[in-house]
Amino acid sequence: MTEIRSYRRVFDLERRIYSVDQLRLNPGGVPLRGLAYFLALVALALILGGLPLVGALSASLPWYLRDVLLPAAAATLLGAVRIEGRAFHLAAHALLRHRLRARTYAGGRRVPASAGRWYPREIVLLPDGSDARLRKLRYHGPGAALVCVEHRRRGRAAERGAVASARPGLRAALTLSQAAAGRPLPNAQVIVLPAGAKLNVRAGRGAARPSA
Amino acid sequence: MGAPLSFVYGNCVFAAGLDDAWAAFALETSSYAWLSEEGKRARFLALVGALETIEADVQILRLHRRWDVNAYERTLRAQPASPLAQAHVQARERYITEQLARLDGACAERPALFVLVSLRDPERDVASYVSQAAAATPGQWLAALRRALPLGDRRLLSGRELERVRVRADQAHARLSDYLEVRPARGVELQWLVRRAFCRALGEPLVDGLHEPRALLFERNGEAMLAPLEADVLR
Repeated sequence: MTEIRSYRRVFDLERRIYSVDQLRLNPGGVPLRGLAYFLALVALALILGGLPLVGALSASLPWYLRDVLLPAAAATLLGAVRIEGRAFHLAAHALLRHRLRARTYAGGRRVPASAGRWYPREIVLLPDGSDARLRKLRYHGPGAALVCVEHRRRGRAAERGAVASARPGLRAALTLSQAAAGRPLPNAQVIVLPAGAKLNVRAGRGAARPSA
Repeated sequence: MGAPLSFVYGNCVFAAGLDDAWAAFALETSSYAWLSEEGKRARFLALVGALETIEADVQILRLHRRWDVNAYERTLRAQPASPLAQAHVQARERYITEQLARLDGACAERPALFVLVSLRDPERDVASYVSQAAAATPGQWLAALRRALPLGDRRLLSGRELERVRVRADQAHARLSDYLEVRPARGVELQWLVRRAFCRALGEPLVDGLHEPRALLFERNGEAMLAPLEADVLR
């Protein structure tokens, strides 16, 4: 339950002047906001009258029109107008603030508007054998390679169980190419390369397709 | 704004330039809600120990990947039914339907944790720098000088240099694995990380072979050399 201590928190009250001392004004009263607009417009007219070019133009108007009737008409109009449900001065303040302030926020803070967009550059990804299919690689021994997918092997190799060793010799080289299915092997195979031996891996199907 | 990444080689990520390499590792995650207080503390101390041992700049990426219920459904339906299951086709179908209905509202997500370790030499004080330089062999001096003053194209990195980075990444892996269940991140995982940053909150990027096992694994011993002969371009 909310206790309402003042109706001004609930209703948007408009203050009006109905009489000045014993003098009664019009039955609807004069809105106080309109009076403020009128005074502001009179002040504006006086300031503009002092400016070089605008002053010459306003001087051509009769004083009662310039200092009384036009500000009164404008104040009546501004007091009656509602821009998106708001009084003129509130709406004008919001529009002016929106126009002058930065419109771009980053991390909750205002930042200058960005000059343009940034596009990330292309990134080159070099394979190291961790892909699910064979990629075009060359491996120089001494070392060992673990092959986890179905493959075909060409070259001089001595096999013992799941270990194949390239036979040492001049320009010893083995070539691996992916089998058609290229399914994972239940037992991975090890290929041991002596110093100077090479393992050439040929790309499996679809390897040359760039990622996009 | 400069490009955050130059290129990626296996689990080695080259950031600002060729001399700014990072090694990426994927950590196995597990729920610790069931652990005792001591178990949780041990898990935390393992992480602290790994960070102290590595003696390098580290980035920890903790993120999640959406669990694809549709892919799970496809896998379930693609599995060949056993003779017993064939005799209970309706029960199997009801089981799958109920499971999918339950999973559909669960918003299942899987955590993923990556650690990136800088492979740069740590910046020490002057005394340790001088002592390190004095302990180095003339060959190491020459190699360091060649790296500092490259005579050729600065954009080129030789296969031997790539292998040297790979070996350093392997050394970082050995240090981390003393404390954590860690493995070198795969190229497709790094590709997923990059593409995920581009489509964050819009969906999971599709990367070929992300959930398939790796095809090859090469020994890194400082003498062997691996040379990639093709590349992918991530646009």
